[in-house]
Amino acid sequence: MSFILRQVTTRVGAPDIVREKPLAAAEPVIGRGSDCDIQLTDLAVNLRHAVVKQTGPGKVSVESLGEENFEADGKFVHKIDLDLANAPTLVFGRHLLALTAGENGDILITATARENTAVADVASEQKRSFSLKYALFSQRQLAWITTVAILLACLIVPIGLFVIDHNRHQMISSTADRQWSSGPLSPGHHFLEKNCEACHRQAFVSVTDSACLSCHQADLTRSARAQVVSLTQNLGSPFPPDLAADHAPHDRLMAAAPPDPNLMRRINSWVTATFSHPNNRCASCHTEHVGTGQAETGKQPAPVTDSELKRNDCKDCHTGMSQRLANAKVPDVSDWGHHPDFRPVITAGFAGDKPRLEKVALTAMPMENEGLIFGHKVHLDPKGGVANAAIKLGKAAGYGAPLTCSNCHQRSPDGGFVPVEMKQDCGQCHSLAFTRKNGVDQLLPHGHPDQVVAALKAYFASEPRTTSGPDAFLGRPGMHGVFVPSQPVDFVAANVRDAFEPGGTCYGCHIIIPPADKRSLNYGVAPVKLTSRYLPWGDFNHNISEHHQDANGASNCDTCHKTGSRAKSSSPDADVMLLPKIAECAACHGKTKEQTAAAAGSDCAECHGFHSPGQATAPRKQELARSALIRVQ
Amino acid sequence: MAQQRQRARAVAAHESFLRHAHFRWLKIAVLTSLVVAAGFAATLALRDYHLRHTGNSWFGYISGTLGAGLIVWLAALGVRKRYMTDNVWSLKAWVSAHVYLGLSLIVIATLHSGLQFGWNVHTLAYALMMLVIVSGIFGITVYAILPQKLSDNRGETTQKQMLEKIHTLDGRLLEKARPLDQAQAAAVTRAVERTRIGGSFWRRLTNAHGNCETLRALTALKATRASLPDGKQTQALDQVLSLLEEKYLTLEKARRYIRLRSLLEVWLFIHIPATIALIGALAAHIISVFFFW
Repeated sequence: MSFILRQVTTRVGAPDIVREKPLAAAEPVIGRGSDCDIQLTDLAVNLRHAVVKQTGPGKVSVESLGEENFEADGKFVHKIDLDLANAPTLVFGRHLLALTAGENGDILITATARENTAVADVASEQKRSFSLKYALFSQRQLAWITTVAILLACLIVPIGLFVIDHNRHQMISSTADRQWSSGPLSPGHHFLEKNCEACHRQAFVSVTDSACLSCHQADLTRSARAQVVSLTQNLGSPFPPDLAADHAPHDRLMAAAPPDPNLMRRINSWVTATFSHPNNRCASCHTEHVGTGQAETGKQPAPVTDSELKRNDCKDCHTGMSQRLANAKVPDVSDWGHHPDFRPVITAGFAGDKPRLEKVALTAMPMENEGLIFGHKVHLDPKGGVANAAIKLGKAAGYGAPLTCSNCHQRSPDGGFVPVEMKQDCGQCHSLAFTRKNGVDQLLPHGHPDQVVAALKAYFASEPRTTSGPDAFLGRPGMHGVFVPSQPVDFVAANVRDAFEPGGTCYGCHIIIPPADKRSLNYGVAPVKLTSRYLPWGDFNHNISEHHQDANGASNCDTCHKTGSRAKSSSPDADVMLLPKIAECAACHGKTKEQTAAAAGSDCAECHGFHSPGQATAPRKQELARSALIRVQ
Repeated sequence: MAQQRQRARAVAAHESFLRHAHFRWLKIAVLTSLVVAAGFAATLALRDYHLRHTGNSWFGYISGTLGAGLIVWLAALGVRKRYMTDNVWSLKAWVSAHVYLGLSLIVIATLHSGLQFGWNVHTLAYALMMLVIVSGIFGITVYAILPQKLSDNRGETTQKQMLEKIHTLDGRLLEKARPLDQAQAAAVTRAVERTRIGGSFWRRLTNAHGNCETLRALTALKATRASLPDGKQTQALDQVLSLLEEKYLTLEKARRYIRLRSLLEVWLFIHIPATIALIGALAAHIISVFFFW
């Protein structure tokens, strides 16, 4: 008793091929695999799908070997017992297995392959069914589309606009470029947020100093300055740009700087310079794009970190600078203790009407030639005639006591002094009156000799000289009595000469240039230049309380300005410089609190601004923050 | 003894890419991240602990170059996997390095950014990179979990087998439904003609096949069958029902399989296009930075 396999192959238009072979196995296995006894070439059939066992005469059992069921008599089963008498049919995929009883008790298994009704192109259907690609977009397409879109929007359009438009249409190019901004600008530069090209002028070139200086350049002519101010206003700046004057040309600053003792920093400088991103630019310290995104109405420079400030120090350059920098005009100053004495800039004389300014050492006791006949000693002598006159003028006139400094010198808010004005500061004593009319003094114009002559001509052309009555007045300095004519005289000529000649109104204070022709009235006056700042490269703030009053709050000008002793000179009408020596400053500056209660700092920046040399540096903190290259302690 | 060795070799051969060479690339990635973090800390210290742009510093340039190089190399897996090589730089080693070095980019790129983000091309590149990394993490997770489930679900059958079986059943259904009345036959025809295995993206991921025609025909015919007494007339109906049931089971299996396979594939639809987009954004980031230096 065994199994006999009869395989029927149907052919179109030809008789079926029937192959019959007995199966050696007692329990034949049905499957797709080549090791199966009943091999069905059908993918819907498992490799080893089921096994057929004879359970009795005319009875078999078929059992699935895996999880896949098979069909038996129209039902899908895992295991089934069959009676051959019923001529059962099994279906595996598209194969029909008919089980019948053969001769000699054999079991005949007739395997017929049914026509395949399945879609021919299973492979493509398989892809469609199982691969997500067919339900979703193509990865490749999406990758290309997004990448090209990003490159276009983020790179090609901005670069294209930069090259083609070059900031002619600021709004368009800035909208395209703004996506490159790594962060908001500092409050002071907030208005430039939409104007990348204001600073980034050339592609692949780091922001240059010239870009910064196009707004912040100091020392511009008045018209150029007005242009810059209007330009920044047009760009939307709420305030004019802060001026930043380097205290020396950039190349000289670089030459003056000593080699960095720190090797790493030297390497860093070399690398940054090599890669066209040098670290000695304005933007190296004034880092941008780290702001808050808020505009501010006040001036606020880009923040500079302490680490950047400490990198360069005044003394680094100013120690041994004369060896590094040819024709250095500034002496070496390694620290406050080695600061040379002041060298004020004074008016040494005149070239025509222009003053000739000279820088002179204070140690040489320089005399200033400001064109004025004036002596502090005469005016400040408490027992002299001036003091007497001031007492007589009385408190109502603002005097009533011997003169002090503040009678003429008024502090101004910038730390200096309001310029001395003749009429206001000298006029109470040094009258410009030449006659009195209807009880009112008639004054000569000041500052213009030609106008003096013109005014006298105009007056005396119609008015006789009044010698008595309410218009008669006593002479004061500059007037020497009343002129009483004994015969008809030329009042105009007489009064003009009276004003300019010795003893006249002008003569006492001014150097008179008489006319070449004695009959002419073309008198002249030598030019006058009162110096307002003797130390233009530094700054001294008179408004700081320690700078103008003592511990009791009393004015103490003469602590520094020795009007009493040092002002002594051969002539009472001339002064040596009343500036103090640096030793006077050192009484407080550079001292410790233990040494003096009024101890003050000795940092270079106390007096010298880096970007604003010679300018008022108050408030001090603002200057320290603004000047990138000074040390902050 | 020999058997043990063989077994050890077999285990080694099946070692996952995550455990490759005793986590060699995990160690390298952690070390790289630590070095970069140390560089960041040093830069921060030099800048008085002010957290601001770090791109414009030694650390920034070095970490940026490292990050950009890594991104390009990681993307090169797409090229590498298409080529067969000797055992040197095996694909498994490459994938292992891809995963761990890719994860280390989170540290490198984040510190490179100095945590300064905004609506700009630089943050776009960072966001795309993070999208790639996150989708990659999803990928690793599904690769660790799903293949086993996939295999369990499918049993011994292959994708092709599942389809073949469905088609065979469809053929049989059409054949067996011939004796049925018009309405029943129409239901069977619909079930055959409107067989939907895949379907839309969401259908694949959620495996929601609510209006399955096979299920509808099965339900309808079952109801009809219940109202009929057993007999010769219902024989054909029983056979059709049996076929429909088997088809529905097969369909369910195929659909479960498709859902798992879709989960396995879906992250790649983000990972790959985002990677290529990232390379574009990275180019824009680097060029724009030096363009407006």
